[in-house]
Amino acid sequence: MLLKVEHLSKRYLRAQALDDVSFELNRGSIVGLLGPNGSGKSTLLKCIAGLCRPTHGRILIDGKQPGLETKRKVAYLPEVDSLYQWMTARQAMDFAKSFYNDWDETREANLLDLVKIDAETSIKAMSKGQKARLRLVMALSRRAPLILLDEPLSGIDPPSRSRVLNAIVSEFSEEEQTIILSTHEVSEAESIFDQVIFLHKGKIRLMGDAEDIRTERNSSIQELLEEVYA
Amino acid sequence: MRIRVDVSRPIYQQMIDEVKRAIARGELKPGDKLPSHRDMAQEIRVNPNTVQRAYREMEQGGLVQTLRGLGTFISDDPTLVERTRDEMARRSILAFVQEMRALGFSPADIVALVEKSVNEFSDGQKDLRDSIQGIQQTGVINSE
Amino acid sequence: MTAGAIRFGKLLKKDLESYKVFMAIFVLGIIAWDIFLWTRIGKWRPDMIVGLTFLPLLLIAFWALLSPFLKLRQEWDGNHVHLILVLPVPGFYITGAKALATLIEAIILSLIATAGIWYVGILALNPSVSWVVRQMTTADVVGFAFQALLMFWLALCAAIVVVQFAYLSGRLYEKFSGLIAIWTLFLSTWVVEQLGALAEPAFRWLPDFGFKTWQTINDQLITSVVPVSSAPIASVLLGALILFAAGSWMLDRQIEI
Repeated sequence: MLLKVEHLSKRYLRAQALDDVSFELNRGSIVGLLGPNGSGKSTLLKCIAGLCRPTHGRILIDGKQPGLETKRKVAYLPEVDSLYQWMTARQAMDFAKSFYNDWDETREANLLDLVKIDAETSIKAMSKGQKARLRLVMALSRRAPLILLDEPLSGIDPPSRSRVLNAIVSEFSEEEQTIILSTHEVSEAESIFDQVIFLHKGKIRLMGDAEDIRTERNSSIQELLEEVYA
Repeated sequence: MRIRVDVSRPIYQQMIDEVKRAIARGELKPGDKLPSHRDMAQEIRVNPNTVQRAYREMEQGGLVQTLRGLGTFISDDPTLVERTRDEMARRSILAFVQEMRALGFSPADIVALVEKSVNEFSDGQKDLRDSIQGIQQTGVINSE
Repeated sequence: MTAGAIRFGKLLKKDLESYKVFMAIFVLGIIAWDIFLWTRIGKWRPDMIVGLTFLPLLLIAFWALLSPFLKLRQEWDGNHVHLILVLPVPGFYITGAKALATLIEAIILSLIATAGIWYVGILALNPSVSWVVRQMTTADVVGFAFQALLMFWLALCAAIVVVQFAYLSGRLYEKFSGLIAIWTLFLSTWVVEQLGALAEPAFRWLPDFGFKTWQTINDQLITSVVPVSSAPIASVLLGALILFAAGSWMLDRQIEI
């Protein structure tokens, strides 16, 4: 079992971000973490990345709670623009690369090519979409068992979104990796998921195999989502 | 092979249908190699596991065979094209008949309408576009 | 080099590089200030000029107190914490690299400022006083300056750690983090002092050292040694070290983003 989330709850001062969330994931799937804004998607990913701590319950990554050890196995793409503006794309990648043993230069080159980023561009001069694509390159260049992509499609132009999705499918290695991708742009992304988790007000509303859902419900994930959150 | 994915139906099923259609039309011949599941996944941008599932089902159904290390090939079965065409035809007719019955046509009406359309189609007196328009006006073909 | 050292180096390099423009301006500012004071020789009173050559050191001390705060805050304000807190390194790499970056900056700046004090100060002083200075050997001067600077740097070390700890404490809370940081600043200064006083007896075995000073009495150059005891300094540094460990632990285990 790659990831085990057991009765995870997270309470903030004003809100219950996650409420008794439990699920398990094996290696080898692309999981869509879906739900409206404020449903707890980001908090869940942050907790798995080790950036916040459960109020109750626990998270196990290859049997270990989030910490120094699990950070080696998890690649995290934050929702916000975390890059240093004074660096070039190359500098940002070189900085990140030195911390991970699983950085794959071939993948890096493929990805840069796929998402059309020139490594010598200064980050200051990049558009929002370019920065989002660079952050994706940085997350996917690692052969990390668990990749967390928090809203990699939001706030970027359609061509960028398309490139991002293509890059994910092309670099995903289904023998060794699992990708959890949170998004509210479901219709565009849903063909790349094989599992989906619907979060609503911090609870799991529905979880399952994407193709089974289409077969059983006779609808797309997007339609089902609209139905569930109506 | 071009596949337009419709996410409201199971994707692996659409892939299987598309392969069958290509076989029936002769675009894919027995012994032809299919793209690797990864290439296919990238090509139509779907989850590689979904492609795997489609390939697995096709293999179980005898449509394709996977040779270790070589790839996935359309089955060398000589009856394959015939069988696939048969199956596709039966499925289209079934859907068509169900739709016509739902519209209230009797079996005799249906046969008559079909005959008429087919004759018009093969007469060659009207060009293709006209005949399709005519058919659509009489409600014989339900656009997919 | 071990992987750990390389990673620490990467963090340090990043922290230094992000302030290189500021540093260049600061260095040029000190040099400009000294040149300005040099042009005032003969126009202004010598003791005033000498006094003013010390001004950069004051600014450096002020900067060294502000810098650990700014260096941490910029990571949060720019959302870079999402990047650095998922790095597989212990928290003390991050706090340590930042503290060391500030210290390195302060050392570079204070060496330049000291050179300014020396050159402009001597020129400005009237012959009778600078005669004293001329009697001192180069070794004397360097020794004195080094001792003084070392004390200055050690004091900065403790101050940097306290400021870091205060900022990180503020980050523990969703609300009033600024107030909490300021309150912690005073509290932790007091704690370091208390720890220092408490641990002081344990460091009595350390050899004391002396500050060599010079003065002229009736045109005679008198050398005297002012003794300084090491124990209080060592114990304050121990207090700072404990605070540093606590801050790094908080970054690892408590702080959420």
